[in-house]
Amino acid sequence: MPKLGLTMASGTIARWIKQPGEAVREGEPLVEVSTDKINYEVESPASGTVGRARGNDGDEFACGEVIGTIALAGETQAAAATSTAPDAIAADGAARVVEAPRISAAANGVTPTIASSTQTAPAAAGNGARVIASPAARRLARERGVSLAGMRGTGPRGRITMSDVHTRRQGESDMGAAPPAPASRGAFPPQLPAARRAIYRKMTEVAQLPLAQVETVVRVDAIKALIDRRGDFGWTAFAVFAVARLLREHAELRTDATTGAPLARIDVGVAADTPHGLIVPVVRDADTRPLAEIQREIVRLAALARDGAIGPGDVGGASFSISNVGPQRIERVAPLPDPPQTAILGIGAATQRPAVVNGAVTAAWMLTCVVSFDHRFVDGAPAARFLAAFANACTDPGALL
Amino acid sequence: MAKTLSAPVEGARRELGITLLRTMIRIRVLEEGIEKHFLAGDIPGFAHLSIGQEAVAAGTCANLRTDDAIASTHRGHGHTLAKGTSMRGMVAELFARSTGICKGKGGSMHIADFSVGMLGANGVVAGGFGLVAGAALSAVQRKTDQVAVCFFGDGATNRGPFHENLNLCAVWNLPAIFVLENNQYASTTSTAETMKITDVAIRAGGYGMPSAIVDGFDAFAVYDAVGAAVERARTAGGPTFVECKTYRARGHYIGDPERYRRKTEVEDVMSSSDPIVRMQGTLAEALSPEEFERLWSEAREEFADAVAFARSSPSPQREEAFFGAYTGDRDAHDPVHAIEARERDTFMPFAPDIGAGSQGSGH
Amino acid sequence: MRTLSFSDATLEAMQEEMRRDATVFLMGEDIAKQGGIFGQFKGLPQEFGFDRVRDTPISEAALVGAGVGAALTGCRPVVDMHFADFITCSMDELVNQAAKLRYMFGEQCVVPMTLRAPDGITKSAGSQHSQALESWFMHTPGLEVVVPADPEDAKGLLKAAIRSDNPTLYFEHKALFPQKGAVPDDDDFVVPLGKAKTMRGGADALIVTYGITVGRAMDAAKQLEADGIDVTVLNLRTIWPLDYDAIANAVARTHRVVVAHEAVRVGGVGGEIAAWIGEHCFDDLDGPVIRLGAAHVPVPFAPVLQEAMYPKAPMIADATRRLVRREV
Repeated sequence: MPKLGLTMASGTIARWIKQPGEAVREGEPLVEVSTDKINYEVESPASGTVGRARGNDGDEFACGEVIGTIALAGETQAAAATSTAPDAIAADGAARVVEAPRISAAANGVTPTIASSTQTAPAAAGNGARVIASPAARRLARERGVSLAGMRGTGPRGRITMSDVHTRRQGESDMGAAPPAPASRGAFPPQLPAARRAIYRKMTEVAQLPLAQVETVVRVDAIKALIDRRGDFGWTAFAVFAVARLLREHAELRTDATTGAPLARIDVGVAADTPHGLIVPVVRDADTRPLAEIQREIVRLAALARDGAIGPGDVGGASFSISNVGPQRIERVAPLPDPPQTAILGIGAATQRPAVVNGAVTAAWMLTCVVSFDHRFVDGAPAARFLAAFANACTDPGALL
Repeated sequence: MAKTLSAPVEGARRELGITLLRTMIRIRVLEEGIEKHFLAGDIPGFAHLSIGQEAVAAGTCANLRTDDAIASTHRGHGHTLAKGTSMRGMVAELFARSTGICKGKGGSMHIADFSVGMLGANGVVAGGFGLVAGAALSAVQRKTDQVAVCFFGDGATNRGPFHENLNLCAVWNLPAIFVLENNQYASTTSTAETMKITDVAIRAGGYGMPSAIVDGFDAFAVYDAVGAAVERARTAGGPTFVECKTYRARGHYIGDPERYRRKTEVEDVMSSSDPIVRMQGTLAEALSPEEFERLWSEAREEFADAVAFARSSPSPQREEAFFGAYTGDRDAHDPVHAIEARERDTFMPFAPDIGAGSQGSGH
Repeated sequence: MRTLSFSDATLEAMQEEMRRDATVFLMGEDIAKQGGIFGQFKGLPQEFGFDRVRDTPISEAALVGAGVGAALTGCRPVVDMHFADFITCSMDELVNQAAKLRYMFGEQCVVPMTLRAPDGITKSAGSQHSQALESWFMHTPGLEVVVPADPEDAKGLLKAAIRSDNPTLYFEHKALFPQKGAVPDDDDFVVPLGKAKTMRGGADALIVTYGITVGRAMDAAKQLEADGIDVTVLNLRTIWPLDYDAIANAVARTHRVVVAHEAVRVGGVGGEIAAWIGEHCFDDLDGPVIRLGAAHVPVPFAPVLQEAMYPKAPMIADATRRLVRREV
């Protein structure tokens, strides 16, 4: 199972394109893999005959696990099929496991604050590549019965350290009846669509976090007037624009839970509802881009998401996210942060509501904003300050523009 | 060629002469025997013979008590034997047996016998000066009348510790006696090449220390000169420097090709000056030829016994290499023990079982 | 507990040992009449006589050589080197004689000599009066080496060194002499050789250290508290024999190790410790063992240069912080 994105820990076989016994040429599409609702076509790393697949459609594998074999020209299928244990190194060299894909979008352009792009190197014994882990981490993993395969190392050069093993184990043990490592199958609720497995696992992890919220109702007359007059941006785009610029100063709100430090880049995720389910495309470097450009970007991403064509470079690695339920005409949403992000802004629909101005009741356009945050990294006061700043930006957008 | 003294030797002096002669003959037999066994491959390492210098060892040590200390040089077999160590202990040590006086850990150059006050032969030239100064200082601290004697060669007198320790002993008035065996050669360099003076004893004067120069081939002369020094030291009179003019009949070490002197030089000196021959001549009228012969045969028997003892003794156990450096290291409760035991365990699987008498190849 | 200066603590140790054992005597340059350049011998000749507290000529080879000779023959000499740097003038006596005689002679003798050597960087003393040479003597089988970190160590280790029947080097950092600290009131307070002391215990990282660097490590630990990092500081006290067990136990608890000393890092004691940890505590390590020590240059004179080239609290804290944050 190739590691197709920085944060990818496992993938699901969506569809075998080539079947066992079929000939395949190097570079030909071999299998379709899905993760976080993005589908990839994985190209064959070698020319030969496709062997028995180890997994079928809908099966999930950790990155680096063997999902199938290819017998090279002149070699037998029997040799190709002898690989047994999930993490076994490919047997006899006569079979070649499916390895790092040749997908040009493999690098999604996001660099975390510490680890380098070598994190994309597959890290499991299953394909012969070295797992870089500290000795203590290895022992801990052994003692806990946890596989290092597919584990994300956050130490220098992608080294897996004890805290990485702790974190992963923590997530697993707190799942209760939930599945253990992604490597084992059949641990999800039996009827759960395969496409929901990733979100299932993530939300189970989120459930253990100490989340808190701050909330306010913002007067948005000024923005509404601006939207109506200019016509080249929408509510979501404005929110992304404002949030991104505010995040420069309000750095705690863009803290990365894996390092405990703020991410350097300000990439803002925008939750999008699609026929394929929830997808969160990311506007990169949102704090450097003009409002109109952000709008265009959001439209582009939404279209791709709707069509199920979004690429790995457009998802993942955000420093902060926004969820806007305004289009659904819903007044309030208190969304959950998307780990390892530690905060998220939920925006409700702009509606006319009674407001008190200079002691008199009048009608004003208002919308409800909620900032949910992971209290391990963000306190109430910074979250409140951030929300207050956002509220100011809404009431006086000219200052920001 | 025997020479006779004008005055007959009798009484106590005769007894002393026999004692000195016996010691010298034993040293000679030991040294010649060591030479033979070294060349036969029985003795690993180096050996430095003192043939020709026996009178200095015998004449000096005859003045000393068991509880007086001596420090010796790399050429120390004579001093060791004269101070009272058994031939068995010495030969077994040279043969690298566990029954050697140093349990096989010292060898010729580091032979020692603390039971008779022999503070060790020393592999470092001039290594003995500090030890003797310290032993003399120790006697003063403990308020005894022990004395300490340092044997050394002409080469050692050019090293720093010679000067530092002579000065210290003089200024602190310590009961030390410095006995120089000026055999006119350090390894391969003659005294004429390495110092401007001929009589090293004048250096003692530079430190305010009294000195004497004696014929080192004459055991009586050595005895008398050292005797006076010992008397001075025991009575808090301070240190003395006794220079014995002598000669080294063999090479610096066994196997030395001796390119630094002519063979005829050796023959000339020994033919006229062999200390044993001298003493035999001096005692010619005091002892019969049979009595002389008995001294030699007893010495030879003693040596043969020592060789048999050494031959029948076991090699040291290999584990022994790892203990003995620290006083606590055989005690399981001592921190050093665990460390040394780990060393032993690490190395034992690879320690070759080398029989006694071999050099150790280093492979 | 009483509060004593380091030099007074050593003085107490000398007094107690000289009263207890008549064979203990002291010699060195400028100690008897002057009382030592740090006052560490004050009053001793007056109590014990100038026979037991002797000023020597400037003759390090004789000083140490005579110390060995006296030790071989029933005395328990304490030899003061004035500055550790001058040990070099008596290397044969220390390395070829003192360290080896017991072993070479098949355990016929003991060398119960203590060699006191004020060492370390202070007050622009320059390269020939500022060295820390303990690694040379850890490397010499037959010698014991101790390095006190505070007045308690100063007293207890000196008494232990004097009582030890092995030749023991006692390295006392010159800058520590005026430092005050608590010393136990016990009648006969001795710090056992070969046992390290945990100065503080924290689970986030381990700083293995000794001598003056212990205080610097404790300062670093305070700084690290502000970062939420809680470290163990292990004061080795004895360099040889090394308390390997204490090191191993501390590594097992903390998983991240910094070894720090003032002596030059290259070829220093830290190298032996770091390598040993790598060999014997491998599976306990969550990161590499970091060594800190002086730069590989002679100690310079100008204060700004001198202060630039050896590790103090900020550097120790920085290395520990980066190790804990998994930046190395």
